Amino acid sequence: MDKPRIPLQIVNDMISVMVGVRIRSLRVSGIIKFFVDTGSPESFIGEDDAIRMKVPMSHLNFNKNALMGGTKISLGQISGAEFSFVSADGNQIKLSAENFSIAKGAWKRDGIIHTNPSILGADFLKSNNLMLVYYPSGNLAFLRLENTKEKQEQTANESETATPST
Amino acid sequence: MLQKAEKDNGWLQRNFERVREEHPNKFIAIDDEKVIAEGSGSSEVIEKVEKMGKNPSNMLIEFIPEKGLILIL
Repeated sequence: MDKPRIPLQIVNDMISVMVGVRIRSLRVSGIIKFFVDTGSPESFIGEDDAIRMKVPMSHLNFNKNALMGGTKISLGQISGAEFSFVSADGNQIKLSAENFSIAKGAWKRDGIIHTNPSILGADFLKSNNLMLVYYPSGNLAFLRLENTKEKQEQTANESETATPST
Repeated sequence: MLQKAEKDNGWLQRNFERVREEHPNKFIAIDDEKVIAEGSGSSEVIEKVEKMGKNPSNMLIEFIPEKGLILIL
């Protein structure tokens, strides 16, 4: 069986994906456009998207700092985040992340206030066994869920081991 | 809802150059493959969308850079 693929979109030469996000701990949900950025070791939801989703920012502890394109941003960790993707065959793929953050930080240019975009970084790809395939001249990009079968078999084997024999 | 948002993002992908000519350096909201609101800030667009009785949480709201302005992550 083919490994599930999540098609990515390339807009203005940037790779993005629409994701359904649910944060159980904060009781909020919404749809976010994430940029897939393997240059970022951290994944986070940008401030604009967080505000749009009505994330209660005052409930978060922004105790981690990062530099993004020369701009300092603060990261507040969240727990219980679930992510829904649409696979190439139209099925829903649900993934999660132990560590995920909300970013805070803005800069002004020509009277327009910019905040940071939402990023799916290398940590998310790694923790969910995702392979990124990007072929810019062919306008093709997708994520492939690796080792799903192996993971399922491993889980099944672990369950068998855990079940006491009669 | 997610598939609808994906469709809207695909529409933006196909029509990016035209959208950029019409809404340079603006935040825009896209619904059903149409730009339904624009503004200088995302909060302004969110407010406009809410006034239309729509839920901005499930909508694509995006900054469109002018031609020549490159966004680097």
